[in-house]
Amino acid sequence: MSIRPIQPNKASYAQPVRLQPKPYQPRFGLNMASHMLQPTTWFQLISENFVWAFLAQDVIALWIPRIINALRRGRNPYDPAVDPAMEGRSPLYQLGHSLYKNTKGLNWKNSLEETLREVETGPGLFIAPSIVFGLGSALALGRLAVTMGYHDLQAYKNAFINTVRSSQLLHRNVPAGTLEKGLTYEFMKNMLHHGHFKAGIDKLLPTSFMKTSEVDQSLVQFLQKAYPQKSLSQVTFKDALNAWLGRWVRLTPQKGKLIDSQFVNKTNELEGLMKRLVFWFNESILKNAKHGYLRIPSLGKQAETTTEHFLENIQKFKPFIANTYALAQKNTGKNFGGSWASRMTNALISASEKVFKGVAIRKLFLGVSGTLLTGMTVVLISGIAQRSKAYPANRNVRLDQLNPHQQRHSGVPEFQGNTHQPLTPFLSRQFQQPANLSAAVSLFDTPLLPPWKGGRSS
Amino acid sequence: MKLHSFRSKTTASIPRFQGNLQSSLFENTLFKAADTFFNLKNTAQSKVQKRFLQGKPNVLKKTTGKILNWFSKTLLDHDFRHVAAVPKVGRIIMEPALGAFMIMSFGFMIGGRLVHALHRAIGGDRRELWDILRRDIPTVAIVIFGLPIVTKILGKKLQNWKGIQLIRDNQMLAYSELENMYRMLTPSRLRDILRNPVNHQGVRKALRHTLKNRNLSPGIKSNLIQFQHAIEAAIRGAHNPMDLNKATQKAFSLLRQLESKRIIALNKAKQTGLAVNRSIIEKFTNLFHAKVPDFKDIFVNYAKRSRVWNDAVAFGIIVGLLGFGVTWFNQWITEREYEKLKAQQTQGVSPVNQNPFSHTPTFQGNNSTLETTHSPFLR
Repeated sequence: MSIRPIQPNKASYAQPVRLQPKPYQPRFGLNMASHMLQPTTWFQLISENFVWAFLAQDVIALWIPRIINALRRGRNPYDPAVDPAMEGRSPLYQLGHSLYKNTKGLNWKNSLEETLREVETGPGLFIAPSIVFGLGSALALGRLAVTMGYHDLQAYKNAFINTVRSSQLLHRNVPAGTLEKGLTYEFMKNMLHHGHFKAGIDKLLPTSFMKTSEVDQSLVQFLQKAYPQKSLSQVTFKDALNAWLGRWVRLTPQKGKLIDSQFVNKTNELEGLMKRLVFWFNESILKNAKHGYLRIPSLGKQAETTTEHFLENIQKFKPFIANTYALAQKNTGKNFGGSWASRMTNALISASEKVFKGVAIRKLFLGVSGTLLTGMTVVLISGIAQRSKAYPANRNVRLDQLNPHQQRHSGVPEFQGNTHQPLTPFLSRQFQQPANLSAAVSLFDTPLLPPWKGGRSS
Repeated sequence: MKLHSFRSKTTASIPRFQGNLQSSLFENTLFKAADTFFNLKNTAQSKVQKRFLQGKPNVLKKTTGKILNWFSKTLLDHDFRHVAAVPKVGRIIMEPALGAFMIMSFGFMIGGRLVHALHRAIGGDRRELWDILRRDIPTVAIVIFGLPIVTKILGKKLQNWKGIQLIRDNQMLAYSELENMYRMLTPSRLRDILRNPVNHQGVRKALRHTLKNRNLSPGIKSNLIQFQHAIEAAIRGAHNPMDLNKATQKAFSLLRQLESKRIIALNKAKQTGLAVNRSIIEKFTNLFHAKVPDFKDIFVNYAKRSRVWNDAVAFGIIVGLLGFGVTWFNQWITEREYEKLKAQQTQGVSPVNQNPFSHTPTFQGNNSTLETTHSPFLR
């Protein structure tokens, strides 16, 4: 049975980068052992990392015990003491032979069935939706936006439309190819500069504390790289955010690469930096803010969000902006009049509505097909798992073999006809079926005949 | 640069989208369907709210409303939105929404298994069906509904027992959140920890635990005792913001002294290692970190250690109850019933009408072999 990680708080589950890196890296040897013996290390991994969560909760906690039980249920134990062939053999030979026989006597068929069952309900339940949505996000309009929550998507789309309406970018002469990135930048700026960081955007970073913390070295390095002229104590939150936004907007995956680990690493690094920034902002400026929470009023009902959730959503929403821009570009001259800027503004608003509709329809289609496909996969794997003619777990407790007549024969039991033996009711249904049929015939054929020909009168 | 040149360039570079911006009737209808589908949960909840939970409802109505509300929240959630990340690959694992997961598990998974089990039920032996029902329904129910409830209840108990806040918004705090909450990076962090009366007992316990560390030098220990006194003073003045601020400032300066002493000790350890072998430095450093944990993390370590109990119990439930327990129970009950039937037969008692697995107790007999028909529909 599949288990989603026990993480009760979805906020920090499966985050790509932990906010606080490990204080030191364990190495093989005594050190590693002492580190690994700490239960906090294990449980943190289990509850915050999908791969570890799957390994620990599905494989170790469920599969292995169930497979062990499946092997033991219906096994044929072997005792060399009662085997006449073992008389006069050395103890070592007996031990080896009994090991071999006992291993062979385990219920391997049942264990295989159990393994397949666990595969079906473990990876089986998320592989099909992953494939469906993976293909969907690769091919569909809006790309990764199909994996966003519907209400989140709606809120982000509305925020984007507001950005377009208020943007001065369209009225400026922007170099070719940078308008889309400029819009993305403005959209994010509206969210962060005028949203969560609004209260203290011009305040200095608490560098005196940051320097003492080992975990903020990456942020310090990032800022030093971004502002080589400035000393760290002169950097404001605005500077830090601008540097971050510039890098985030420029970051795009390489074309034609199915798995771009470089892109993933860079995204993770940037997300880690943003988490640090939010942490220090909440800590030093918004003193009573919830830790790890962002408040972005332009998102309406979805305004209060965790940093992880926000970072995940903006990564998914970026292709939405790109597609909206592309569609608007294509249709600028077609449907709208007026100056280029107003035409482009209208086209962008209509395009974002159009892309949103498309993504919502695709989301519906992908969700329904994901559920159905998973269902079909699950039923198919069930069929493969349960393909043997009998239930292997009950191979030594077969009810049909309780009949003394059948116990004499090995393999398929044979029936002797109507006997005076007490008949077991749990014998084959096939035995019962013709009997039931004959009973039914005997019941129904008589009333059909008229009474003067021997039928029942009433 | 002129605008027209920029427009023509960008338009030429996008070959993908040929459609116009006007939606067709078909598209609009589909979108309406999608909108209704994704809002189903909210619509149902508002209806339940109106019909059952508004005004002055009686107990029965209120209970029904709560149950319906809960069902609408879980069963009608079909919005796939949770994506899990795989290291180096990115966010690629799509987790089913709760409602979809219920359909998959209760509908397809258990249903499929039952149908396949019926197909191969030899001689009406439907014990596999019972096995499936006993194994899968509790497993799914415990995993989806049982464990969160258990962890929440346990978390509350744990919070009171350990004297440190482990729950926020009715949910257990994750380990990384505990790290953020309890790491004393700034005086305001320390003040926030001490302002919360839930934490007072835990803070004292954590400090006592740290003082028991045998690896601390007497100098560091005396500083730690001073820090303990400062924390005590802060706790005493927790109700007064001015007192609390003063005390936490003092405690934080003591903490900084402790940290600097620790770093000096660490450097000494490094130098010792350097004298022996370069590769030993890392070992010394790591060993030092393990033996003398960061003083900023005194409360983090305590909170994390406290939370482990919760996870250990949940993990134990999965291994014990769902991993071993359920399957073992199935085996035990099957074998017990079998032994009973066997005993009845050896005693010459006809087990007719006593078999719990059979649906038609009468048996007339026929010469057909057993394993020829597997269809349940023929029966």
